[in-house]
Amino acid sequence: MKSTIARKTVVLLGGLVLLVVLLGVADATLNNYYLRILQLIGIYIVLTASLNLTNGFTGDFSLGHAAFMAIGGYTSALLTMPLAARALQLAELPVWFQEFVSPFPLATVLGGILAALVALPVGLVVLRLRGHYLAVATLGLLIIVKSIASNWEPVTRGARGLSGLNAETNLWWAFGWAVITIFVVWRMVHSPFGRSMIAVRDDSVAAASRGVHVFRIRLVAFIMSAFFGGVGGALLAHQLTAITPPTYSFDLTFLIVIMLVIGGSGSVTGSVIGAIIMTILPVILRDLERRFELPGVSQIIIAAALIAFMIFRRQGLMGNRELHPSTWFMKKPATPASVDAPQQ
Amino acid sequence: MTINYILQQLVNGLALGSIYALLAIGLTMVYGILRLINFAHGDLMMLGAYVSSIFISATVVPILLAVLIPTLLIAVMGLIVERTAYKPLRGAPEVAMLITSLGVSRLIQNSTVLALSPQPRAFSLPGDLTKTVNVGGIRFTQLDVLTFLLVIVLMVLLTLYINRSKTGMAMRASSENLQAARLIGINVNWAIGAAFVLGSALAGTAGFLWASRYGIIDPFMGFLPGVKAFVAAVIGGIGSIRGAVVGGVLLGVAEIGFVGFLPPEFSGYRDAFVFSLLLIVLLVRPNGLFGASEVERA
Amino acid sequence: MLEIRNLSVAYGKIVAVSDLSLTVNEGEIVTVVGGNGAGKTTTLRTVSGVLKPRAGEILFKGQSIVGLPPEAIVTRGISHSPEGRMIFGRLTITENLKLGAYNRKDAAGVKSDMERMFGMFPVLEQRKSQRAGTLSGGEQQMLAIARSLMSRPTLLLLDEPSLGLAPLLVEKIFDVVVELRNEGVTILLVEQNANEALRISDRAYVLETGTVTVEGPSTELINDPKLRAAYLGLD
Repeated sequence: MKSTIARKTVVLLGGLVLLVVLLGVADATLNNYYLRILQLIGIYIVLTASLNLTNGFTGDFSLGHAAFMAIGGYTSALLTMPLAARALQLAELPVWFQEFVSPFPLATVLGGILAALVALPVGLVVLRLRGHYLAVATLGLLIIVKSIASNWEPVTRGARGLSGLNAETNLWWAFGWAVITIFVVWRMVHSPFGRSMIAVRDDSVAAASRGVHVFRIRLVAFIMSAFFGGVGGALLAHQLTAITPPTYSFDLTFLIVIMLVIGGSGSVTGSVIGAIIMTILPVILRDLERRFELPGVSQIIIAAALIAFMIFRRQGLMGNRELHPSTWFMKKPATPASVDAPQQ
Repeated sequence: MTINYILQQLVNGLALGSIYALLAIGLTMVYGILRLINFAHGDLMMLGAYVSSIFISATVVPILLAVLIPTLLIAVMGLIVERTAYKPLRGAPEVAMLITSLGVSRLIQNSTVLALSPQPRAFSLPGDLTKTVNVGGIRFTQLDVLTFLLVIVLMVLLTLYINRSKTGMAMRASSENLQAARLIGINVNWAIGAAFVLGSALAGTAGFLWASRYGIIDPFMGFLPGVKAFVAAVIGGIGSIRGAVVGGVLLGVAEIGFVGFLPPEFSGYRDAFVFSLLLIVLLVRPNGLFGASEVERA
Repeated sequence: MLEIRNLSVAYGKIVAVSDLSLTVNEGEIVTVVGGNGAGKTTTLRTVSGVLKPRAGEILFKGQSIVGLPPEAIVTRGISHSPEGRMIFGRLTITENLKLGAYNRKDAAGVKSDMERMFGMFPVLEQRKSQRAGTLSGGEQQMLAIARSLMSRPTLLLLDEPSLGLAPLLVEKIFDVVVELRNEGVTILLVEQNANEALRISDRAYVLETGTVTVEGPSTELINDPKLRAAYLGLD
């Protein structure tokens, strides 16, 4: 048993080193176009893995992830915006703010924290709902946040948005946060807390009767999910170097939901796989769409694939299972106990 | 602020609310039976608007056809959606159905983009329909009158059908207890199909009305009204047709009132207002105005 | 009339019924007794076509009915009065009865059957245009039975008809069951109230964890002291 753990650590560290080497090679050789796609993969891993906390593990189906992204995105953009751009765009804000420029890492974390802070009262309200009602309520949150972003002129500049940000998001930040997110989510899910989450998802009444604090578990998952949503939003804003309300649309929430369900919303590695596939596939499809001048085709294919998945492989590619790279090298592959997909 | 202004806002609110009501009926019927929020419902309305636009542009065709044909075609469309996308998911977790309906919504929107164009196009009614009539200082268009008449007639017909016909009875029974309905030999797929046909037909009609009111149509126009109509259905009490109508009208009046009576800088928060209302209703009175409690359903 | 052979039914990975065999002959009342989770309701629901078996065969009048949709099974003459009654509380009593005859095309026959039900259960007639949810528990049970009779079944599946009823009403319900049999309806009865059910039935099966452990004539079962203690929960 001890050697298994040691072996796992070795494999894990080896994997990290390999990732660093690969990223280094990619950074040195790839052109900007491909680098941006790779960065996006990292960002979407952050977003999908964090959405998995609510939608996958506690079974609270949220459509509001883009709302937390927007909060993180705007917060970080306001904090990092270079002074020159600030003087032009944010003249109405108080003087002290005009002079404080935060480093990008701090701004990212603060973006996440603000998203989490908003998630606390929001969660207290919307988590009293479940199922469809929760989905529509969180969709409502997204629409409310978008309305604020579109109308709070002095801070967000409304439809014009904030621009002139430094392109701070690089491969290292994107994948650094992806690794942190996976690590945190993995640790959460594979802890007593995580087992409580799954118990809540599968049967919240039974969980409550066994002494699980159902509401608190759901709330913590919601807030953690929002934190990383905010971080992902900050990363995205600093990749695009500008932020406007349409960026954080329902389309974005929907894309992350697709990544999650295609990967398997009960599996952390599934989130990674879903994020990778659904970052690359749309790029390829959009390319074909432009080449053959068939507007809408990429979205049609993705939507049809999603429906097909729901009909024929509801549990996604991974279901509740995980890929354990550390087990590939063992004699007997330990199959993780697979649980049936949650019944409603 | 004059009394006339207030009445004018009321007329506008009622007109918008009538359209929400038409959409909400379809959503509430389907949700009542299947526990499915059909996110594609608003997109069926969009298709209705496009179908209607074909007949509107050929001015020779009487306006009735521009209403009737989308109503019939979208009814068929709704049934096709049900049978191909939702029927294979019977008994699946509700989240699977929800995701599927989001997928269907996207599919319809982007198929329209592909077949026609992503660009908005004008939807112009024949002149005399938009001509305003001034009654005691309140301006009506003939379209307003047509909207009210149409909505009232359709609701009366629908209510009669639901209350009197055998299929209507089966729909009500399925909505109350789908298991029991199956068990005693009701063909629930028939009842579900009927809910989709009727609801989608009303969405088709709503497409004409919405397009006539705003004069412009695009492939993405339907999603938000669809979701707002679901909000209306929740306000009225999900599963209740009367609730859908009252909820729709209330929501329309409230939304227009929000824009009409608050300072203009608030009007951008119109959608936020609608969803804040939803949150308040869900927390204060989760069963809506006329909703059966989940206990009563069991 | 009904022959269940080696039936197995599962919910996901949980097996509810395994390798169960059971026969009901024409004109019989057959009782199925057993504790909670023994698979009684699951068996009835599988016969009705609401659940699909994992294995096994169900023959009705010599023909397989596995895989048929519930409405087709009702049309063939099997009717199910479910556990918990499951009447439609927001519909009127008349509407509930009409729905019981949903698959019938003979309007006149339906009308006369409705009169027959009102004759059998006068309380239903008095309140026929009221919502069924306003009925008392015993009245709801009568409505549930009447509704299942509206399809003119030759085989009636009755699931826990006496559940939660006062003793006087239990008597009344069992009288009705006997009366129905005398009119020619074959009955498969699932009951917690084993004593009462065995008293009126011809044969009985004892179910335990999804399979038949004891079967025989009801009089034998009711008089077997070991069975009484072990399976029937009687003194």
